[in-house]
Amino acid sequence: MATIPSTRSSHSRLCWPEEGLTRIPQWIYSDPAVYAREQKRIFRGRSWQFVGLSAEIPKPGDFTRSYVGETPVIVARATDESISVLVNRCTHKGVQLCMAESGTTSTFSCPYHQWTFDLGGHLRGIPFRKGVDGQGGFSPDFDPSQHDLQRLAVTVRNGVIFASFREDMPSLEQYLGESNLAFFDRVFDGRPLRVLGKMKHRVHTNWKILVENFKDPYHATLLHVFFATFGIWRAGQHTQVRIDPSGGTSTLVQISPVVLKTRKAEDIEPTLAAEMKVFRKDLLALAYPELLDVVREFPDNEDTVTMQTIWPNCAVHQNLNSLGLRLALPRGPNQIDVYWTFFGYETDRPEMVARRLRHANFFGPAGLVTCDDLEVWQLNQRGLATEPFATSCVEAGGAGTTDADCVITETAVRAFYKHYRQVMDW
Amino acid sequence: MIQERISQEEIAALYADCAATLDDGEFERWPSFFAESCSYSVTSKENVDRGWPIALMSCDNRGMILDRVMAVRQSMLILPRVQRRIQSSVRIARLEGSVAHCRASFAVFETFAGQPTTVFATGRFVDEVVREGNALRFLKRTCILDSTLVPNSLPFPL
Repeated sequence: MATIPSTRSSHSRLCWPEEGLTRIPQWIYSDPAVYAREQKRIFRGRSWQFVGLSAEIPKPGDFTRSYVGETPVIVARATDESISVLVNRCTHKGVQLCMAESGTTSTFSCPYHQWTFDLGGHLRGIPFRKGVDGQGGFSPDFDPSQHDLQRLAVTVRNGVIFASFREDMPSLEQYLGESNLAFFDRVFDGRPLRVLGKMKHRVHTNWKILVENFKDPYHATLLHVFFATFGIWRAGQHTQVRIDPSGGTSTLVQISPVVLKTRKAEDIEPTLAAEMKVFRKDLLALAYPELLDVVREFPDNEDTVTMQTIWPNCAVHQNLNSLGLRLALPRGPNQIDVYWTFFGYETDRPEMVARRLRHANFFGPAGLVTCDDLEVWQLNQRGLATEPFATSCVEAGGAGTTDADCVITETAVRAFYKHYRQVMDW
Repeated sequence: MIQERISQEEIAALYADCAATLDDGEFERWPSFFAESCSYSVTSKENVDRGWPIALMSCDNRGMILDRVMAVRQSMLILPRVQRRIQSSVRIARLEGSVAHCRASFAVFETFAGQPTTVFATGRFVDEVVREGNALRFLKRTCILDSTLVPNSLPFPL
């Protein structure tokens, strides 16, 4: 997005530029007070946040660690098969009691004073509660149920676990809205999932820069050589942007005109090629063209790419035969820990698993495509640091915040900030 | 023809040469360290411990190794930097027929222009080396990162 240092930029910290949603004040990416407000209103607010897949904790007693915003949590499957999301913090003195990243257990026991909690976070054991030889211990009035681990609200849909600090959350169906729910259920259709693995990296950018990128079909055809050259995402192909009524959640869709079992750099319409400077006709066919071998696997029978971003900081990609969830965990205004979970289905044949693993080469910190974004975000963050009161211009596709059927549009970015401003009360 | 037994000295030279080639940014030379039928991957300790098959970078064959080099040179946007590899404990764990199962520890330091040098990654290699013609080459190379949190991007092979 272009940066316009404007004399009309507001120097009041709580005032959006008067142009409205066609501008983004860049102090929202760096101001510590904004970050603190986001933690309170968004990450501890009325949002469903991805914490893991059911497939990561298949059996009672299984647990894994995750985060909701900055808060470390334990995601555990209880003996009745229900899933709990518990703040990883002993209610005695605040020790982060669960040290293992994952495992199987019947209790969580704090190493400091051995306070012991069950898989639902209930305080079940305090050593020497009645003292020793009649001396010390806790009063008979001490009520352990007042000291259970903090539990978050949980919703699970087709194997995907979300949590919230708020008890009054709408259903996930209402939260996603009709069109985005359909795209969610397209990938998470009820078939048991299989975790293929995780990639994690610490990225020096603001979490909203990442989220905007996943809502921006415009850049993908201009930055990513692989996408443009091999027709995975390029201008000229049918594109849809579908946004939920609140504006916070969206899905980008692109449909290739032909099924390309083995993609190669092909002729495209010359004016499109001229605009897409990254299109590389000179790029030789791959030494291993099967890298781009893709099998249509969804019932809509179209050769698609979908990128869904779920408010506030989660994304689901379906690209080639790679399926993945991305979580951008804020770590201060200028840093995010990005967790990628790659998955398939339990019913995948070995050839499909192999394909999914091969296609993972495009994504994550070593990604043949993702790397472009990571480097650009570094440059973006450097630029933002030198002029924190400038504004970004988001006028591609007009000024609206509704669905679009084109690739050169920033409508989903504007919609995101429509919701952001409402949540932040700006 | 009876192949000459692979020696510790030869392994040390292979590892040093490969690391220096990558440090110097001579990516076109990197595929020459691999056997005709070969594989290369970079993953994290977490994935190995959990038994998850994902790799951050995976080349199932020589063609994918060549394509990774092509991408590094021609298609990926990569901010310029210098990497410096330090290896230790380079050793043959065992010999099985013509295959030397080798191990090494490594640290990679990274320097962007105008920035202090930082530790980019540490980890270990689990490799299989064979003699092909006159040279030792990697049949299989697996790089296992200690950290789950890669600093930003991992554009170059390790």
